[in-house]
Amino acid sequence: MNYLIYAGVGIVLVALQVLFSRFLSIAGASPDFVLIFLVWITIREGQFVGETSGFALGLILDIFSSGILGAHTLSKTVACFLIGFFYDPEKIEQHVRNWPFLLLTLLAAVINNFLFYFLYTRASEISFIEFAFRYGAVGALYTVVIAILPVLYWSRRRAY
Amino acid sequence: MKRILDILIAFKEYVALAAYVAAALVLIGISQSTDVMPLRAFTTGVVGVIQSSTSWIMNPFTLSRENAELRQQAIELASEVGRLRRSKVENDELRRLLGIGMRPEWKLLPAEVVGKTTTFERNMITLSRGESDGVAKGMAVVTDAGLVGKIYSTSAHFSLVEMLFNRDFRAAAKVGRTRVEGIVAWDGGPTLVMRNVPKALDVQVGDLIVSSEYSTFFPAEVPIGTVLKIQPEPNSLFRSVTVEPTVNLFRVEHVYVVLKDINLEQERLTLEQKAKDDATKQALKK
Repeated sequence: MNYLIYAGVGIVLVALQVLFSRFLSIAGASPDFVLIFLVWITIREGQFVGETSGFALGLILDIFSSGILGAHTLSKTVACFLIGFFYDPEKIEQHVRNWPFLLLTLLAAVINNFLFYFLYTRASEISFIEFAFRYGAVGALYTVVIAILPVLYWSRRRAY
Repeated sequence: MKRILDILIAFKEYVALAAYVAAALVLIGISQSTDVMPLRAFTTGVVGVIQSSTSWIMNPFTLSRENAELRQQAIELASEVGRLRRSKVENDELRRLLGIGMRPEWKLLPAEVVGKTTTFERNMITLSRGESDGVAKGMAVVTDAGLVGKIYSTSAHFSLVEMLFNRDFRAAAKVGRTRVEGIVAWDGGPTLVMRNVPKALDVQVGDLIVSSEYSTFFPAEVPIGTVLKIQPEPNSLFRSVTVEPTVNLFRVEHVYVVLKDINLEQERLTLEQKAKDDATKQALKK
C-alpha cells in the first residue's frame, strides 16, 4: 500500500516539476521536488527501494520533460543509491525530521546535478564546469531551501 | 542455482544499480533516435493540453510591461515597414536586372505560446499549433524580432519548440554587414557564441548576425542576434564572438512557424562540412 502512495505522490511531483517549476525559477535554476521526495523515500525505506524509485521517477521525468532520455534516470538512480548508504532503520525519524535530511538532500542534489549536467553538456559548446557551478550549485542550494519546508512540517507534527 | 540466487539477493542493491545504470545508458543512446519520436509526440500532446489550460497564469504579471513594449515596438515597426517596402521594390528590380533568382517566400503560420519552460536545462516553449495545422519537426520558429528556435516534436494540436538557448541548437549564420560565416550555438549562459572566426575577418561589436542561406532549417537573413563581445581565442588566429539574441526568449508570447519543406539531408551535409572546416582550423591552430 505504501508503495502505491509513493508512486502516486511521485507522479504528482513529476507533473509539478515539469509544468510549474518555471514559476519558481530563479536565474534559470529551479528546485527539484522529485529529488526531495526520493531522499525521503531512501531514508525511510533504504537503498534498494530508493534507487528503484529514483530509476522509475527519473524515467517518468525524462519522458515528460523532453530532455535527454535517460539523463534524469541515471542521475537520480545514482544519487539515491549513494544516499542509501546513510540509511539507518533505527534513526529514520531522527533523520527525516532534523537537519540530517537537509544535509542528505544537499548531497543528493549535488550528485544529481553534477551527473545530470555532465550528460547534458556532453557534445555541446557548453562548458561543463561553468554550467554545473552556475546552475547545478544554485539549483542544489535552492532544492535544500525548499526541503526546509517539509522538515519544519514534520518536526511540528512531532511537537503536537 | 539457489546459490546464485542467494548471492543476487544478498547484493540486490548493487545488482539493481548495475541494471538501472545499463538501462539508463541504453536510453541515453537512443535519446535522439527516431524510434522515440512517437513517445515525444505523445508527451508533447499531454503536456500541451495541460499547459494550454494553465497558460493564463503568468499573463497577469507580465501583461502591463509587455503592452508598453509592444506599443513602442509597433511604432518602430510601422516606420521600418515603410522603409523595407521601398527597399524590397528596389531589391526586386535590381535582382531582375542582374538575373539573380527571387528568394522563396516563406509561408508563416501564427501560433500562440501556451507553455513555457525557461529553466536553463530545458528552454522550450509549447505552441498551440500542431500537425493538423501543417507543423512538422525541424521547422523554424520566428518573431518579428528574429529567430526563436525550431520545432522539436509535434502532436496533432501542439508542438514543442527547442529555443536558441538549448544544448542541441546550431545554426549556420553570417555577419549581416560583412557576410563572415560561422555556426552559432548556445554557450550555456544568456548569450550565444560564434566560434573560430578568423581574426583577419571584419566583425565588430554591434554587428547583426543573421541566418545563412546554407541553412535549410532556418530561412536566410532572419536576425539571430547582435555581436556583444569579441574575444581572441588564446594562442590562435581565431576569435570567439559572443552574440546577444534579438528576441527576448523569456518573454515571447506569439510566434510564427515557417511552413516549408525541410531538407534535412542538406542541413546535415552543411553542418558536417562546417564541422570539418572547424576541425581543420583547430588542427592549424595546433
